[in-house]
Amino acid sequence: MSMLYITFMGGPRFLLDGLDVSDQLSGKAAAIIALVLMKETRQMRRSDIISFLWSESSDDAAKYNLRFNLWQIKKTLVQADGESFLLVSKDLIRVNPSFSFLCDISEIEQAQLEAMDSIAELKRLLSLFRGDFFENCSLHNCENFLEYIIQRRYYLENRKLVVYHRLIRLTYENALDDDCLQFMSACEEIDPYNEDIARIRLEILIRRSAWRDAAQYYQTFYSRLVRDVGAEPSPELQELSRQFHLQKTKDAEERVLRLEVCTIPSLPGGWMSQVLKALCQSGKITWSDYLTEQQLSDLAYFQPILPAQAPASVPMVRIAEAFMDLITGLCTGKRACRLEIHSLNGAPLDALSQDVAEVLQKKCGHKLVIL
Amino acid sequence: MDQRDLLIKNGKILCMDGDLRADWLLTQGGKIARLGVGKCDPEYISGTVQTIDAKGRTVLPGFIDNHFQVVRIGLEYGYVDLSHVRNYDEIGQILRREAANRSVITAYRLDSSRLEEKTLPDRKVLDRYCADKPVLIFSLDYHTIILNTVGILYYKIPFTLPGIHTDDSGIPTGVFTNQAENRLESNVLDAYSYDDFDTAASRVVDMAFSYGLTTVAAMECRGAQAEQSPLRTSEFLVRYKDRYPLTIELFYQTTEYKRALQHGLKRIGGALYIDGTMGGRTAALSFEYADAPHRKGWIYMTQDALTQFTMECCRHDLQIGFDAIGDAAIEAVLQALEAAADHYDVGAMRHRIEHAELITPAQMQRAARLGVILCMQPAYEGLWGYPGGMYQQRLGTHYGTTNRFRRIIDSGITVCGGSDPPITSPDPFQGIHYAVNHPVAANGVTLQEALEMYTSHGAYALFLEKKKGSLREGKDADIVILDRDITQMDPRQLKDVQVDMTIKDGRVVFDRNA
Repeated sequence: MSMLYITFMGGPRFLLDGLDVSDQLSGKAAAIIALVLMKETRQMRRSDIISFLWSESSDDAAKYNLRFNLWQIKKTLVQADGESFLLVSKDLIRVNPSFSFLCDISEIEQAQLEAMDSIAELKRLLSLFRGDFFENCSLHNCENFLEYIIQRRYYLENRKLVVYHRLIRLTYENALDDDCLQFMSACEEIDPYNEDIARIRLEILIRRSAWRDAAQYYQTFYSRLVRDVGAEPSPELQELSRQFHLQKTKDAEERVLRLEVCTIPSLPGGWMSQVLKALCQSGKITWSDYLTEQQLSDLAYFQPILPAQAPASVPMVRIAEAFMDLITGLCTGKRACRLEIHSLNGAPLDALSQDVAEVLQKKCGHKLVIL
Repeated sequence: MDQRDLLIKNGKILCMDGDLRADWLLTQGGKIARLGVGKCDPEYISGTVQTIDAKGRTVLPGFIDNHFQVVRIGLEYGYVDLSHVRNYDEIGQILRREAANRSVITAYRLDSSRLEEKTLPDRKVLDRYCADKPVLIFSLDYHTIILNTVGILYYKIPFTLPGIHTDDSGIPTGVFTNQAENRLESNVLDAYSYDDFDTAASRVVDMAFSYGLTTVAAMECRGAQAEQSPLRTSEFLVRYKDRYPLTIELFYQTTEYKRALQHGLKRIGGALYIDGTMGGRTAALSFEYADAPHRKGWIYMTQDALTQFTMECCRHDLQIGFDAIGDAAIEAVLQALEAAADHYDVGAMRHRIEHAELITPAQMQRAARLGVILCMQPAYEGLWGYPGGMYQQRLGTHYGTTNRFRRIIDSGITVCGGSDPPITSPDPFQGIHYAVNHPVAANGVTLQEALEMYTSHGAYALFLEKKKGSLREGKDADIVILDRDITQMDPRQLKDVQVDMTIKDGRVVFDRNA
């Protein structure tokens, strides 16, 4: 049995049994199909179609054009058994009920969105919004049909919004946060002032302890509302924002120690040595808080400006361990700070330092930033 | 044009380096090689040097516009100007004429108060004159966009936003205001290709040279686009600004400082909106608007976010351009900078406040202490500063407190000038004129001070003072020759001064008499 797939979003397209036959149909033929399909009864009077598509033509010319386009449709959209997609009579044009087809607009229109609970089904519906209704389709001298396109686009864009809202609600309720965030980002493109969406996003970010992201988003939403609408967020949303501002302030209070170093990839341990030098030059380190005297001496062998007497020789493993104790203590100890180590020349770390840095980053997490 | 070394003789050369003056100037390899007083040494007058006789006219460093838009203005220069039409038929005639040469018609500056119909046309009216090509018209104040039917089908319409005007049948009339207008404007910008941007930028470069501008600070967005689609024009300039002979210093319009860092930029913001506008009564004031009781405008960023952003930028040595007009917005900026000053040397970063129209004397002192630069637009006074004008309507008894250049400079603040096109003309002499001839005389400055705003101080505001902004040996040969000696003229005529010749990097790029 033949199957016809019709899409109007993103421009008319007709796939008959997997074969794209769109090129065989004119824009006005596609318009006829759209008009008939969109009718609840799926049938339309010839005169009504003419008023949409050839209102400015003479009666004869209009009838001729209609006949020609119907012939084009009949010739192109035909099943293996010879059944045509449209049934044409003297007055009426209607969709052949025995013809198997799917149409994106029909699906979008018929969906009972408010009652849909299936995320998968809603996602599929969303995927049907591939572009605008009759996008990039040039149609001339059919003012009424152009009006119709505008009307449909208006309607469909708002329909899409309902799909988004439904998806956001369902994914949020089912704790599918990543999906929810994704839908909200897309939805905000067409619905940027929606407080419900802003609240859901903030609640997810709070749930994830993403204080900084929450603050950043709140600021964006706040600015948008104040600038474009001339209103502040609701008291409820402002109250919500206080939660993460408090937490963010705590985070912000943490000390930040920023070091700048040069990296020489060919010098084993060169990056570590540079870090020690920068720490020493910062004047902000009380070495005894983090290292034993022996460890400090070991490190002095590696970086002579450290305030300790360096031994004659120290195995590299002791230096690496002392270095890791020092950095771990700085980032996670009692007087922990966030350590940011910036490479001035942007060169990669030497192999030894790279291995040590990887271990440290696992131990220290976000408290250690190596750039 | 000619790429030989240049000798400019018989000039009244104002070097804009203190009181330094000269009579002749020699360029070599795009730099200023020598300056001299009296007759120039004959050894410099050789066949390889092009001699330009300034005939006693004023010679200055190339002007620097510190608040400019390159792509945006270039696009608008390609729009159809409807500022003079009086009725729908005149609009229609222009549309029909333009339709012959354009695939898309974009027009602007349509003023409903000038129209006999006293209301802006809608889609149906436009369709009568042009039904087969997209037509888009911006109203004079840019608060309304009108599209014809093909235009609605051509552009991505924000059908879900407030501001879509509909007829009795619920069908859009083609008139878009408020949030829908904002978004549609962004979508229109998105419809332009990089080739369009290139054409626009090239157009602006020629226009800039004709006004003697050799350096501009590019603030590539306007209003609501700051959030929606500022990035394409900024990204375009990040990638291609060096292909243009005009020096373009980009301010990336974002609060994502990492984006600026990724591009190796040293500055951020510019049109980073802290408040709105006086015209829209959204500039944040510490007092109520005289013509709208209970309204004080809006601050667009929370203090917490502003301070956080400032700290992050300072941590990365980024110069920030805050766009703040009302005293309450300026206060928020100063508080953020004062918080940052506890941790960083903010003075060294030369942060800027753009416009700062209503900075108070107390705030001037604090701004001076913080090393804040004010980037101001003296030509605003020509638009709105006269008695009965918009400033007085909005400010009532506070009239006279806008753009107090005299007091600001006396506070020790460095002030640079910008035109903020298209709000005012990119011609620097419009700004210089109103800085000197301020409608409130006590706020005016000397000619030398006004020139500094567009030269030496302009360069300082962009960290370019070692290369530009004054005429000294070794600096870039960015030079303008005016049409007269401005030191000997009636200052009330300053806005009539024209640039006769512009030289950029030692090359003549504009010659009015050529």
